[in-house]
Amino acid sequence: MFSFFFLFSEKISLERIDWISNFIENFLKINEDESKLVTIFLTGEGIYNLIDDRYQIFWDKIFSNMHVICYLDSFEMQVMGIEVDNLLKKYEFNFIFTDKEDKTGFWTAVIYSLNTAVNEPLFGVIQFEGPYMHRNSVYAVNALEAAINNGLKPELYSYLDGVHLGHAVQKPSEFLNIGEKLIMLGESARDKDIDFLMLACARCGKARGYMRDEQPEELYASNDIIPSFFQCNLNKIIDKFEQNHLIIAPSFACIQDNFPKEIGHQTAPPILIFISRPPYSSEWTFGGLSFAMACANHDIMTKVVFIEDGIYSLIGYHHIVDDEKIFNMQELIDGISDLEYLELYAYLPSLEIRNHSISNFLDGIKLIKINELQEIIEHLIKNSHSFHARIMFF
Amino acid sequence: MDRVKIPDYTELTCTNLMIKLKIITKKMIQAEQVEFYSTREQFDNIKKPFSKNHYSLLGNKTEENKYHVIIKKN
Repeated sequence: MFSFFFLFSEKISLERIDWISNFIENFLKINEDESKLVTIFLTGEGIYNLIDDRYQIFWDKIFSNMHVICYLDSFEMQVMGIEVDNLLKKYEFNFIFTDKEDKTGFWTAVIYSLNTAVNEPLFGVIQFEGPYMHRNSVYAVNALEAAINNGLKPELYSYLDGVHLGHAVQKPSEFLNIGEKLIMLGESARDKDIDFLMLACARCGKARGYMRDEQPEELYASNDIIPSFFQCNLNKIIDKFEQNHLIIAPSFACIQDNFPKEIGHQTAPPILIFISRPPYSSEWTFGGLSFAMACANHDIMTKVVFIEDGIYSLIGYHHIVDDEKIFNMQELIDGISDLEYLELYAYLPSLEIRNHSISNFLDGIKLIKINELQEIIEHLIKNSHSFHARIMFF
Repeated sequence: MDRVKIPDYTELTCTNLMIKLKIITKKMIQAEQVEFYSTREQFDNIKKPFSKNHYSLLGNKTEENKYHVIIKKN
């Protein structure tokens, strides 16, 4: 039995809900004899996706199938003033509402739903965005708290702006103090004799001024960072991705095989990375490709799909002069295309609706449509000895 | 004739060095090589990916935390 999970804590684009609705429809239609289930978790601004009229046609397609269930974060719905009744009128049988009095209730539901098949004592959260600008930093600590409450060992992996979570001496006046909360969670975990590991990418930390001197040890601590929040080589974080535990992100997906062919012979869960943003205006694309390269270098089967605005990395001929001090994304893509454990794809509909095509010299990228995307994702799990495959959005 | 100065990449993060090397080596032709200085951690990081199939890698320690590295395309 295959289960597919999506979690969104942000408003997604019409383009994304469109391909996701097609994906879910195909996923449930193909091999109907196989028992399949799709679970969607919506929290924060992800809930707005449900109440936007422009999205209804896609939700109708998704929820017309009884094998789709949707967990809604009732605590966050209260914050945003979204009424339950309006939603129930239409999709009553598809919805599960978490406890509106418990801010970690939604995350407990996520843990229970996802960890049933995986059944690992560890639970990881990877965070790409910093506190205060982004409320998903609050969701990250809520998820870690839910893990501790449920007796799991929480691990926080901070990447890109996520490294700011560990900044020392945070003093927000009207926002949950993320640094203090992480320290409190560490104490709470210790009281329960549970280890709490926090790792941050040293490349991202160094760029943001957290590493004033050379890094003599594998785990780097300083007065600029809260205690037990360690900067380390990205490879140290990727070591964690070689293990089989769940690792969630503010927006992520996961496919699980509830009855894998061979139990006890597990390999590192394969990973699919969606590159969905333009190449140079933010660190997302560089961060996603660096992460993919690091996974592939650890012999983790890694597939990268350029989709939505991510296709802008593949068009034209990028010319970057040395003074710019940025990597040419096309050179980077071409450079990593020969990695043994890495496959590169571009989602053709994203190119077509923008009226673009891939530059000829990027010949290591295969064009795919929704059916092939479906196959790639299912093969991730079918061709591996893992209970699940991870899917991340950059 | 002046010998070309060997680039010193010790200030680069391991990830950025790996990317730089992937870009450089992808453009190399057979038997061509690239040489540079790295730290011990950088050298440890690139050993595995550049010891596979198409490349051979050589590293000599020159200082306490400095290696002279040569990657050759086979």
